[in-house]
Amino acid sequence: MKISHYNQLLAISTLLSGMLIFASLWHQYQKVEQVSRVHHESRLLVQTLDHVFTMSQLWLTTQDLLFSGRQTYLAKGIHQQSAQLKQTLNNIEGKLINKAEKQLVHGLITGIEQNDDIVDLFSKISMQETKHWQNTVAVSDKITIRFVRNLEQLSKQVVNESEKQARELTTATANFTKLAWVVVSLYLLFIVFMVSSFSKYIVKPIEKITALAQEPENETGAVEFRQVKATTEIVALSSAIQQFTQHITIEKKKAEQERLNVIKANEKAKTIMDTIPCSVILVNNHGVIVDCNVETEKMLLADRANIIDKEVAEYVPALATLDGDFDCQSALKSMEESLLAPGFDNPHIEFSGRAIEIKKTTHYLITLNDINERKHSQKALSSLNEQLIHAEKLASIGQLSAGIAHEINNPVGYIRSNLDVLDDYFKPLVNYIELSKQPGGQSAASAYYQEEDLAFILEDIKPLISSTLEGAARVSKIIKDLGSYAHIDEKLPEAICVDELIEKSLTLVANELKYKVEITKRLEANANVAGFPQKLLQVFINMLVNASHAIESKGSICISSQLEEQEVQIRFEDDGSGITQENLKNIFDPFFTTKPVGKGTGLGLHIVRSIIEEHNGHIDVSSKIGHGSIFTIYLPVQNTKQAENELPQINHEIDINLNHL
Amino acid sequence: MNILSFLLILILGLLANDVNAVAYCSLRDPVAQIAQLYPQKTNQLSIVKTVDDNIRAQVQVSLPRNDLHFSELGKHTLYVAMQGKNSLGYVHVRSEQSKWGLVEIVWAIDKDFRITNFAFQRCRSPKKKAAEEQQFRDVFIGKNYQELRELLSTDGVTANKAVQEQAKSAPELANVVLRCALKTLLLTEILWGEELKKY
Repeated sequence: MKISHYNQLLAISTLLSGMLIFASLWHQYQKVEQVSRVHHESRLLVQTLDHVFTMSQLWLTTQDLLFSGRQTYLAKGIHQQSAQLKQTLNNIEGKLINKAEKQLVHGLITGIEQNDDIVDLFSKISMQETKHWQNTVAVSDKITIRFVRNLEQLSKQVVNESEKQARELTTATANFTKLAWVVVSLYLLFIVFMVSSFSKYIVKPIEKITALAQEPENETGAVEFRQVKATTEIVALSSAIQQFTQHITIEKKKAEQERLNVIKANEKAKTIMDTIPCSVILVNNHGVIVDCNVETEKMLLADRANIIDKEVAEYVPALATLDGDFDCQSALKSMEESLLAPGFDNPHIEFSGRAIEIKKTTHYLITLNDINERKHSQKALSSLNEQLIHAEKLASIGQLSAGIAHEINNPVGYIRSNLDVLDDYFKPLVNYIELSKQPGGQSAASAYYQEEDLAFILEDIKPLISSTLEGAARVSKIIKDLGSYAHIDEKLPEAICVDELIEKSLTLVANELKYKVEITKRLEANANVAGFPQKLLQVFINMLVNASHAIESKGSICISSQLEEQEVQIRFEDDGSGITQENLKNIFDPFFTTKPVGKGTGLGLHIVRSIIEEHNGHIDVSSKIGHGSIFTIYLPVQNTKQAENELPQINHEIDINLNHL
Repeated sequence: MNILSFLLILILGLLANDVNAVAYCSLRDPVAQIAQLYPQKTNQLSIVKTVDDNIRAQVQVSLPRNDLHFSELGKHTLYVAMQGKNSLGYVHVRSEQSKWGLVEIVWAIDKDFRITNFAFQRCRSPKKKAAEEQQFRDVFIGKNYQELRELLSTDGVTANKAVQEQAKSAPELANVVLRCALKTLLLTEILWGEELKKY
């Protein structure tokens, strides 16, 4: 049954039973009320009779006084009393139902009237009529005795009637009370029955369910919530709770398993954290360290307890803004090199960070790697690289030395030849001057002039001297270019005219090229780049020599430079053998060479790319077998203002990049 | 109003003068009534005495709650039943107020002032018959004033429980009779005591 049906049943049954109870009580109450009214009337009648008794007492006493004292003026009063008595008795007669009682009242009234006649006689009686007097009194006594007897009888009957009515009233009241008790008891029993039904089918099942829910969980976790003796809703509710608890039990097991997994994962993570060979720090969004691993303690030279709750910027200043707040943007960088706070012997670190959500709050997981050893290695590597570059340069000088020597020998040859000719010219000239100096030697001098053809000599000396000077200049230039090439660059970058530097490189490789290569120049850049001239010169020489080597017998090399926006493009184009696509991938790798053993180090192009990247530039290559190769170098143009501002930065970057090598 | 009218009339009646007071305690038929009480009597004497305020005061002292009414003051007659020259006893008639009007009782008293007999000259009570039964009468007969005085209850008006029990058929009448007997014996002794010593 549904609870609503219970409610309806209770309401209807309560209403009906209430109506029944009140109807029966009202019916019984009406009975009691009726009996009570009758009883009240009878009591009033009794009281009236009591009054009649009193009146009769006075009436009789007055008569006795009249009879005893013969005071006839009392007769009038007696008549008045008689009238009052009769009136009262008439009223009583009107209220009586019983015929016998009515007759009694009627007799009383008759007695009063008869007595009144006697009293009338007394008012006329004479002093001598003693006998008559006594007889009359005797008659009156008889009448009044009968009157009293009748009055007593009437009173007795009325009192009996009243007592009967009182008993009936008592009985009716008792019955009413009994009925009230019975119906109220029945009503209470009914209420108790209904309440117990409610309790049995509604409250108890709910209490049972509640008690089961509050019981401590047993090992199996199986609790039977389902109720059978209950209302439809509670049965459905208990079934739903049963299903729900089963679901909860399953979910709880899952959650427990997940908790165990989390514990294992935490243990695993802790093991990883403590095993991972780098410092790991967890900071909140205010930059306060929340957790760290063992490596952090080693790196920061402090216990975990002393590290926790400190700001990470205290250890890594790079993670703070200029205002000293936590710089969360910096914390998200990857492989960012930085320094620990002053005071650490090994300050070089590399940090990476990621943002993670922990309990709906952004945290940052930052790893710190100790890169001091790497820094030392980089420094050593940088030095080694410099040596390598220098060695490569020396190697190229060695390669170029024969050609350079040839280039020097040519001017030196014709300088010597010119000097030999000039030496030949020197003796006749000296003789001519001495003849001219002698007195009267003019003629001899003129003759000597004509004889030795000094005019020709004098005419030939000037071109000889010019040719000699020009040869000396050529040698000087070659030596100077070679010297500048061999020279190690200054540490600070400088402005370099790209076109001039290309010309220098051509000078140095001229002999290497001139017998099989036709050089075409289109140097139109007319711009400066910031950098190290010797290194860039090494690049260009390397490019020209490689191009020359790519040409087996005869070919051409086109060198061009042009300005494209803020970039200088330098192009080395040859029509040599070209490079296979497979080798194109590796030509910039160190120690990669297609040349025979002993002919190349395999470091040339690798160093070329390193130097260009050192100058913030880059290099492209395209090649086709049998058609030649094109190497294009891109270098940023030096901006005067920018150069002034960035010069130190460039130096720094160069240092760093060199360190990478 | 009716009760008040009755009371007024009654009071007016009681205030009447004592001209006919002698009649209050007189026998209606003295010869016959005395003969009824003393069958052996040959003649009777009547002694008239006056109940005055002094007597009334004495009665009030002896019977505090049984005061004499004003109408009871005045001349009263005591009859002496004679057998020849010897007195047989005394006859005293007294009225006592009751719910049935005045109850007039004729008392027969011996020379020791003990009740020897009594009869109702007027009694309208329906219990009159019960009062005439011997059991009722034995309550009073043979008792003098002191003995009857002991029959009063503490209220001084009604008979005690023993009398009530003995006269259970007419208890109210017993109260009236007892009060009447006490007054009768007391007045007889006070008024006529000295006079009766002669007989």
